[in-house]
Amino acid sequence: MSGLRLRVGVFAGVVLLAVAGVVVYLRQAVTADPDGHTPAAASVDTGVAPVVAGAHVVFRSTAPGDGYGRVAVVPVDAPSGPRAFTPASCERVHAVRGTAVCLVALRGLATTYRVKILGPQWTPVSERAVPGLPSRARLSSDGALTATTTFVYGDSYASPGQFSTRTLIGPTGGADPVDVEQFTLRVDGRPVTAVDRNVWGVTFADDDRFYATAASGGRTWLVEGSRSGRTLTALRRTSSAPRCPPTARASRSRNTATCRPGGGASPSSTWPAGGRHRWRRPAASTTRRSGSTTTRSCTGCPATRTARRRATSGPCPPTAPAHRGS
Amino acid sequence: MYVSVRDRPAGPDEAPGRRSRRVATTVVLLGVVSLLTDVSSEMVSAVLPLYLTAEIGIGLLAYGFVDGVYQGVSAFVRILGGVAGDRGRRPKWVAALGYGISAVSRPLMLAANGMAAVTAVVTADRLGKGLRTAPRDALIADASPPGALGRSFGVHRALDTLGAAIGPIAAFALLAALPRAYDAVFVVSFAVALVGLAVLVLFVPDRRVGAGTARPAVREVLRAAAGPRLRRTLLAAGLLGVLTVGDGFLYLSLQHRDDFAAMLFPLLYVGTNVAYLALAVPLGRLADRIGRARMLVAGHVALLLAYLCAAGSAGGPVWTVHTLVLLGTFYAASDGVLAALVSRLVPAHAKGTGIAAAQTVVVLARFASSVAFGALWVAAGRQPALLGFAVALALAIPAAGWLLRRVEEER
Repeated sequence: MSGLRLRVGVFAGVVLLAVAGVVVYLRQAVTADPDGHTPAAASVDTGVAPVVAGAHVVFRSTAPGDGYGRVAVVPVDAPSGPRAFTPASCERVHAVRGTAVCLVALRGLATTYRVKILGPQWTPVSERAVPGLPSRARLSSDGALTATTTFVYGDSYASPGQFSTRTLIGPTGGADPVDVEQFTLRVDGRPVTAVDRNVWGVTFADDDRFYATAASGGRTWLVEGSRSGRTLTALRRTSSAPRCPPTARASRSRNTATCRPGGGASPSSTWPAGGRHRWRRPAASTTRRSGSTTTRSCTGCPATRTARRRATSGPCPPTAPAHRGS
Repeated sequence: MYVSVRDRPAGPDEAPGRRSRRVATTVVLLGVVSLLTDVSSEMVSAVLPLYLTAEIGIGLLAYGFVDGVYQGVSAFVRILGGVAGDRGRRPKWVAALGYGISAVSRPLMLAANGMAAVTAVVTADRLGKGLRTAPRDALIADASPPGALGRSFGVHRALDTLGAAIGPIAAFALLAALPRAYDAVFVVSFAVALVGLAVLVLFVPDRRVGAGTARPAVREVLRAAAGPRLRRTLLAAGLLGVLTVGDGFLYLSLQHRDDFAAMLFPLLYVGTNVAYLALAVPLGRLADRIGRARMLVAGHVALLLAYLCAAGSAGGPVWTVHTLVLLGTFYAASDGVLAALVSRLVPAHAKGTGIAAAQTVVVLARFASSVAFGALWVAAGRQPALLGFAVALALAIPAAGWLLRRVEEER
């Protein structure tokens, strides 16, 4: 072991170099990002109030820098203009006047996710836990109802083409939302009981009815749901899953029309038949932009690909076993 | 820890078969290398879903694709690593290459910005992992007295699992201190991997395995690895593997049953790892005493019980915890134990290949099992699928026991 001393020396050098490298990098990262944390519950940015007084767009900013992940607003007629940042940070957000639903991730040993209901000052008025990675948040046009969609087993053991969503709907701020996947799904009058049902893309029509996309066995349907009857009724089959639910649409202020199938603003008529087209704005729009809010377009929409992977499609992502050892 | 470097090395000089309370220094060092490498890789994989979906904006579906890619790559390269280690008779350097590739992939993560780049980087990491596993296990086997192989692998797997537990904690602690500093996670991960690589290169003895001076031909290595005893063992491992539902599916099943598990989904992995960590050494020692083949079979009984716990309709924390403990027991009684078993069934110059063959059989069999289980779940439902696999496993366990009878005595 003559070279032992040399090797210990080299090893000490490597460790020193590694530690020094990390320290230098972290110091530089800290100075580059002096205010990494959003000031929690800070007062509303002075710029926000005038913007929200008029027609505006609410979105989650993904521009690098301090505002990353923050909810921001711009006037609807100047969408590329300067942003006014609210104090809220969300993974997903949807807002109507005076109320917003915000899905947040709390990073920790086990990252957990919560849904927060934000009041007029963009501060939380209520919150509770949701299972899984945030995918989509929706409010009804009057803000009374909330729908959240999360990926439940979306984890490192996920396999191609397999995903599962959990979509919960209920009164905004209520403690016990219901899981839409537990509703009875009927296609052509027959109940579908397969376990791989997934439901996402909820759009509320009124206090009871809503529209959504349901999927099972690689097929997807536009469904009309009833909260009171706990049913989902297929209205039409979509030839392939839409690339995105029609999220870019302005969901609207209190007095405008509700969604109607075939009536322009319903998901059915606006979803493209092929996966790649963009959502088309209906000719006779039922939405006006007056006091409205819009959401960011969605990312991470569930499952365009399930349809093509029937063989292994299941409710269940993990087809690959966990590996042990390295 | 149960072992420390302060123990005098049992080392290569120890008379084979002698019972000793010490574990070879090489084994501990390789355990430390694995610990550091696992801290490094688990740091990245713990934040990867969030990083990809929240920062880069890749959908989760696409992430599933990434994951699928690297599982496949890992299985294929494994055999390659085993043969290369045996053929060059310097398994240390094949292992070092594997660890090195994974380490280098970390800083590349910083630059990777699109789907293709992320896939390439993740694939490189898995490639390194596949390459290093078999030669490293061959080194462990080579450095351990035959009578203490189970314990040596147990010590190594315990250190390895400890690293896997520290990794996510470190990553999220870092993210808590520096929000969104995913780049910092990658940088720290790289630094840790480098230190691990340095331990391997500088301190693990570069042992020549096998006898003689000539390089064995590939064909010779493969022939040696395909002896009748190994064939029976591979058959048994394949049979059991085909009925081994991936732990992801079991977690899924728990999650379907109750919200307790759903909220704590990421913690389920931690629970299993804690049980694995605690039991790897004791069960490895027990395997040395009662026979590794027997321990392997017994481990699958724990798996069978885990199926039953997960299949029951009653939910709640108690059943969830039981399932996780049984699953951890299964891993502790099967993973390192299989490597220990196989390393005694092949000649010294084909150890890496033999271990790689067994691990590849298990990986492929489990992959087939997962596809079958997923299909059964969709067709029949969660509970019938689990119970069906439980019944099949109950039949396969005695069959495997029969295949493995006296496999260890014939030497």
